[in-house]
Amino acid sequence: VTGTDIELCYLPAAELAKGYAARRFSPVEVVTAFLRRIDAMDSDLHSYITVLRETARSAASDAERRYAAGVPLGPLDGVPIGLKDVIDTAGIRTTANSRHFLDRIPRSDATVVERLRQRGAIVLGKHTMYEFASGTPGPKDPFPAARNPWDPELVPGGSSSGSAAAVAAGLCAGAIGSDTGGSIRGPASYCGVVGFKPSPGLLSTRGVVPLSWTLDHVGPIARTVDDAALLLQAGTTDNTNFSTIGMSIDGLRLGAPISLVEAAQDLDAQTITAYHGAINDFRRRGIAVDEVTVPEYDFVGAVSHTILAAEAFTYHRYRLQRAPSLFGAEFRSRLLQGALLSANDYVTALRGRTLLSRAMTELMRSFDALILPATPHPAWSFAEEMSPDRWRWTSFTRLFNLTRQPAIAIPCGFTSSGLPIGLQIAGRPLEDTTVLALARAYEREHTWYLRHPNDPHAN
Amino acid sequence: VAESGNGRSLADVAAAVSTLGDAGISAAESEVAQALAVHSGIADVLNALRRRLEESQEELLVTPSEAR
Repeated sequence: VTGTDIELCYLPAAELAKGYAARRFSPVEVVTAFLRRIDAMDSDLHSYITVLRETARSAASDAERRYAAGVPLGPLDGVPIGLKDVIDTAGIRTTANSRHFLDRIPRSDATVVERLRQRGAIVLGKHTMYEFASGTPGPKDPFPAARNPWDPELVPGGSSSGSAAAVAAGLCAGAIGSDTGGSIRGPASYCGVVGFKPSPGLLSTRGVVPLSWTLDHVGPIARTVDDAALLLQAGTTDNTNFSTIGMSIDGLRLGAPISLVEAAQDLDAQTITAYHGAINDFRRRGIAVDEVTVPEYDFVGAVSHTILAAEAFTYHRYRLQRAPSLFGAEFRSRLLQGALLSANDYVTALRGRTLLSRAMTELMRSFDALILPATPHPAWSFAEEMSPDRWRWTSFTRLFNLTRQPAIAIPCGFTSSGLPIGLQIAGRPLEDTTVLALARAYEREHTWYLRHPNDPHAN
Repeated sequence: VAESGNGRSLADVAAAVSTLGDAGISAAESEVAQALAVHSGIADVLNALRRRLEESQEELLVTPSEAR
């Protein structure tokens, strides 16, 4: 891995297309640099399940020809990305990191992949994840758990674990993950990158192995907010312009649920300090930030758990009947929880979701966005992640899957031991550009994205 | 009342194993006891939610537009 490789592999995606157009470097050089870096580092990091060396090189040659002819497909042409291994790729194994799907080769690309390829994105490979986008890393997983590039003894978060780890380690320029209760935003927070759960429908879930049909979202993981917007723009069928370059945030009003955050029993002291720092930063910019109470919040965990477990059980029932031992213990336990729920439990949870959505709609009449930590603490150990009491832990992310609000995680500092801390910004449904604009404004003043994990393979 | 390792009564676990068996799902008692432990924590909150919904004057039916 050369110095040049590191420079290329840490360039924001938006800069890659500019560099190609200016002939400063080529798609083939960039893909080669990423593949060299994956070969050098991923045997320790385990962020990829499948690396697509030949198809990536071939796609890079195609992109190179388009740039040479002056007809690139857009700002994502020639940009190497990775996909969580729950997202279907035609003719390429898509395993969901489960023994049930080890030989599963989809016939067609997921809609989001189709769109990204049409715009010239190069798929470098399929990223490691927690089994079926749920559960925890376990000893029966067919592929080894991804590690956190900031400290390999710690988890990168889940379930889009490999995607966030790979973006943070410079093993792809961006990634597409899935988020049912925080599976994009949590790993992004633990790994010091940007993770965006857009409003539902903006990125299609067609061709993405379901965990929970009504809570699943597809979204980008990227190094910068602009890169996340680029990936969203390329992957969506929506006509909205998601670029927020030049967009003012003056006059926007923020709500900060400080009491809710401070009541979390597993809240880390440095996380709360960074959170207050972010609130003060927005206030210094002249943005009004008022403390708010999130109504009906006590129901969030149970409502989310019930809907997810019931829907996951429904999807996997046949496999649970026929070959339960092929599931990892943690995911099988979640399916059993779903099997023990009644129809009344599920409908009660759906009504609870409506209650929460209406309460949040009312609250958001007074605010353009809420800000809160993405996770209550920085990355923790594998033992903590695999605890059977995991379901009791605080989540600041699940609410926004229930209420269909766009929510982004961005870096907002580092602990004294050098671990990233994440801030979450959540807006009104379908007001994704407001969320992106606030995140971008914060990012412009705090260039945390320029900080990278120690690289044992650097020169 | 005899308890399983996860604090669930053995009768509860046996009943759950039987319910699952009726659905064609076989699982070890220890696994079912663990799933029941989570289930019971969730059930307490769902019961509180049921009370909250009953108190509510709103029609909180899940309409097609809200389910989307």
